[in-house]
Amino acid sequence: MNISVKFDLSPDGEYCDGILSLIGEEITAKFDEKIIFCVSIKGVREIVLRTYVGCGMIELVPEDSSDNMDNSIEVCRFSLSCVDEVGEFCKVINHYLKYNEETDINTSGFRVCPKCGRHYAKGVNTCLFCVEKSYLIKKLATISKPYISWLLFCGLFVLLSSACSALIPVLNKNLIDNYLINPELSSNNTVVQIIKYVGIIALFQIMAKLFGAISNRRANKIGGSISNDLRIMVYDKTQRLSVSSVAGKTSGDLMKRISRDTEIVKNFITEQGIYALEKVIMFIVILVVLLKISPLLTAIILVPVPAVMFAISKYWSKIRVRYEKQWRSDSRANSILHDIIKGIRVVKTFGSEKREIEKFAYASKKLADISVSNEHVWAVVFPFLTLFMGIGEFLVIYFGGRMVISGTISIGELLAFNLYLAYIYQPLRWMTTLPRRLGEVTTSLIKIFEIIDEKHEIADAENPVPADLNGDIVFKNVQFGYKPYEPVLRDINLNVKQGEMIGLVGHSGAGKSTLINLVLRLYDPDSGEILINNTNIKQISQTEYREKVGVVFQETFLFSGSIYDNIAYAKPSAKPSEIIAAAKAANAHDFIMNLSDGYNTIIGEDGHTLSGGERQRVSIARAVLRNPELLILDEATSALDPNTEEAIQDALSRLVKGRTTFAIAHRLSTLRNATRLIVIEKGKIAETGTHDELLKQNGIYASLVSAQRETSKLEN
Amino acid sequence: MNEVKNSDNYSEIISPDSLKTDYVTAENCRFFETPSGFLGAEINGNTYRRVILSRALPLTMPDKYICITDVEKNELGIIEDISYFTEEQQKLINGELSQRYFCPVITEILSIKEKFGNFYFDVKIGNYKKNFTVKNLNKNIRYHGEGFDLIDVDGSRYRILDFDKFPSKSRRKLEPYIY
Repeated sequence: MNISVKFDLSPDGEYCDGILSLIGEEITAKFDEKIIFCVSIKGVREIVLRTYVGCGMIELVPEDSSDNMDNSIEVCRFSLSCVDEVGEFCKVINHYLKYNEETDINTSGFRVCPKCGRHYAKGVNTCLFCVEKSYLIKKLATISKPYISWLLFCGLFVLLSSACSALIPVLNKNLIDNYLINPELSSNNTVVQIIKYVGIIALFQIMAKLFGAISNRRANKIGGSISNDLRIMVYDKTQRLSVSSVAGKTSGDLMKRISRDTEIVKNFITEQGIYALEKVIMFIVILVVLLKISPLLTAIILVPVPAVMFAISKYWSKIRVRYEKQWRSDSRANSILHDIIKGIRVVKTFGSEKREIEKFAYASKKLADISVSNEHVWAVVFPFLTLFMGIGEFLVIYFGGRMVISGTISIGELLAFNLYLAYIYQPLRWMTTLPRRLGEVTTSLIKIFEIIDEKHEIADAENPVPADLNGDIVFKNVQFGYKPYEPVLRDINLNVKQGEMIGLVGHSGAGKSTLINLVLRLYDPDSGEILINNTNIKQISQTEYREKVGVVFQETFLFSGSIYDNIAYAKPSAKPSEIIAAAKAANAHDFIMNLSDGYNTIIGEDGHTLSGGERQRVSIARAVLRNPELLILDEATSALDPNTEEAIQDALSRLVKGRTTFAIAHRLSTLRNATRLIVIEKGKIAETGTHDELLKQNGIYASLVSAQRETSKLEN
Repeated sequence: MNEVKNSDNYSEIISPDSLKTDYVTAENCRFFETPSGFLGAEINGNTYRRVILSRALPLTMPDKYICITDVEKNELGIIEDISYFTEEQQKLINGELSQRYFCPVITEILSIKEKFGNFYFDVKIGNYKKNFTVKNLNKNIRYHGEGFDLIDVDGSRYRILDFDKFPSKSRRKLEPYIY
């Protein structure tokens, strides 16, 4: 075997450029041409990777090592920048030690850009440092594609509106030069001609406004639709993201992205997008007209433009950072608010309202300070930019006046030129405000696309097969860790027959819930496979699979709405008779009937109007209604008093009958009906058997049972 | 099993004495280095050939409240303050802690670029040039005293010891990004 990876810490904890390699059966770690470690893997049981705070180390565990691993040999240290690579290195060696099979290092999980060498975040497909600046525009253009015909429609009406507006100064010029300054040139009916001109000018004004109104109306519709599409895309993606990915974001942050950021994008499209189009078209049209009237005066008014554009481009990066900071403050204040409102019962019971008010007030003030500071910067910079931009106006009055006196241009032409100036400065002044608006919308777009572009960690197979749960569930050499280099479950080999009830037992943190998470396919194993009726779980359609699985957790979540709606959540098409039958099976019917509104009783957010036992029974009714083929009970009764538990146990035993069931319970009596008990200890299956068999073994299970007997003696 | 009995007794749980912790001291605890290079300890007459030390308050009190556990993470005791031990013992304790906590101190910021919500740092740690990426600055900054730690996308940490005493050029580059 010949594999190598990088490591970056010397034994003294200094950065170094080290190479860790396995050549033949010899592990070598070296840096600066110095070999710091060189040992054969013969006689080694395994290679263990330990991660600490900001760093990690790997050590070789000899075959005769005790549990405490006090005779292990340290190989090398590394910062977490190298953890993925070193983790893969260990995986390959451990596989070799265990199965005597050579494998290659799997680089697919490495998050290092081959171009710039920078590391990128989990869940991101591309190196955002290397993507082009037009990345966001392209993304937005893709989303706007379905609206292209309507955007062209808007563009046409904007063009018409601009053309009408652009013609008005020409008409003014003709009116002044032909009928007001030199009336003798005109025919006898000057007044009639003046009225005619005024009428035409008014008509063009009306047409310009009308076309403008039509395009604005459509732009609003397009903006609303695009923002709606974005909102749905972000919401849809958050629903599909893996549990670990969603857990990494606060709900305040997600809500801000779904509601407020999409609104900012909409406002930008409707207010700025159409305006930008109008101004660009107007700028080109007017520039042509101005050049025709006087190329010299046109050149004069454009003198300050390059300087202003340069200033804007320099200012742009600074304003972006300021708005990013404002976004972060806003998100932080939102998260605090969301936390406080959600945890209001805890706040009140601990009497910590004042502390929480102060906490929010501080975050809110920070946000206000940053917003005010951003606006201040803007208030100072903007007038100077526009003043500088407008310098040409003064120059036009001076040079234009001299040209009129010398007869190079007429008064009407100078007047028309001045009118056009207003038109041409409008887009230029608007451009000076662009960094601020772009700063805001770019920040929002980044946050939106961050979610939309996030990689699906648990993706469906290309051609998923239908879920068929009529068979055994088999775990084959399953290994899994929430971080691939830190296994939580190891060597899990288990064959669960259809209809069996499996009780998972073990100390806290042993890996029971992790096993359940794998059965639910909330995560995929790092190695090994899970087969459902001889089909790898990864090949099965997730939606279809989960439709056939019923889950009851310790922490029940009920949506705000009626009890009926909450039970029907499992099967929206259920008839009232089915809902009542499910509630009866869950021993929930009696307490529901004692409520004055019966099944129509509205339960508060998170079911706070019901007791713990009642909430649990509603959630069991939900699972019963689904009629699942596979049932998962994760500490379903541990938070309840013995009487309530008995009622729920009764309901559960009805539910479990004939279905493959995985149940976790700390109260071991809860698992008395289990076909088999699986004891998990330190991520491995330690004992398997029935209650009696395991008691006879006098192992971990027996000690857990005896500990609980002591407790129940105290309770009695 | 006795622990179970005690924890079920409410009167004991809420008594003021239950909030007292027995710390290991220089009198009942001695550290030593094992032939394999690991830290061992003798605590209350029991010998442990490999122990792990963890800071309870790594940001605010890095030299106080140090938990001693075995490899299986079973707690063996808590040190209240490292300074209560002899210099030689402190050296062993700090040596083990430095193996478990790696947070290099940034001496200079060469550049910070923000692109699409990610923050790309180019810094100097002594003479070593390092680049790292931080996503979501709000969540990946840990303030302590006068400075703070930045946590990158891999979980590596980088420390600014005292922001006010940081070179002004570097401070100006960093200021817009911190809350």
